[in-house]
Amino acid sequence: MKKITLPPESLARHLDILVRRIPARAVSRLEHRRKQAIYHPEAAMRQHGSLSLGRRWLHQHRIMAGSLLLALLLGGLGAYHWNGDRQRTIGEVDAALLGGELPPGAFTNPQFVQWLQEHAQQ
Amino acid sequence: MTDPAELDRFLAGVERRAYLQARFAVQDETAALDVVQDAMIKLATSYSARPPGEWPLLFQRILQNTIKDYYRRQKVKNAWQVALSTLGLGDRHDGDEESAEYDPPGDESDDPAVRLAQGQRLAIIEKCLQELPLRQRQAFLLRYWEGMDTAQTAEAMGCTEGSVKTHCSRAVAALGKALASYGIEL
Repeated sequence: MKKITLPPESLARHLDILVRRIPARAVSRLEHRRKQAIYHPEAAMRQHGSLSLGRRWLHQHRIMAGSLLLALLLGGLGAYHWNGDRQRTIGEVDAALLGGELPPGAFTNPQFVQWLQEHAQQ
Repeated sequence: MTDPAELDRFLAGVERRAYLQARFAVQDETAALDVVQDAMIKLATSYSARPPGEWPLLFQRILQNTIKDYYRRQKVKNAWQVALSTLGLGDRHDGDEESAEYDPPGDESDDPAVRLAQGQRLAIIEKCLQELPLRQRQAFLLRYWEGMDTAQTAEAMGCTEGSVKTHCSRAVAALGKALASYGIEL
């Protein structure tokens, strides 16, 4: 083969020729896929501004929405944990009330409840 | 709000070059069409509200990332295929029914000798480009074919300008060497 010199810019021109020679079948498939992409349901909604307000807000504030969800999750876990503690305390007082010989009035005294809890742990 | 016709015009103007870039990278007509369509969908769904002047660079960046994603998916797929084949469950069918044969470029010149020489040259250039590593090919095509400057290429590739210069010079050197073996000088 005869030796020829081809600078990068000239090589790019050869690529342009390759573009013009893309088979017609591939070109028509490309056009079809372009239409599919443009009229893709989500793309169409965005182009027409018809994304629901909530979804649009979520798209625009992803980090904020993520933080909000995380805060909600942590809040829920905290409430669950606090509620569990409270139920346990009530259970301990109920058990002491039913099993003890003290008059029920003793349990209405907050200092006695505190004393009871301290001694129950021991 | 974006005019779909404007987006359609933009994509119609870049789709063939994008397809060729994808075909160099994935070496399969159907996979290249998938890559281009994915990039188009991403542009249409996530960036169509941006000013049209930003679309070319955004589209290039999306396209390069989609090609990288394709490579990642192939890597995972290949790893699974290897794992399954060692268990004797592998799908030994390597061919892709949908992938069509690649038509080598024809020619526009009337002179048969010119047509033959040009067709051969185009086939060699395409082969040499396909053999380049991904990042070198991306840098070369974006700089010399898409006509982007170093900063734009760096943005599209998600790397530094220094890396772009390195990839470009290595691509030119590798292409020069590969083409020289066919009697073509860069």
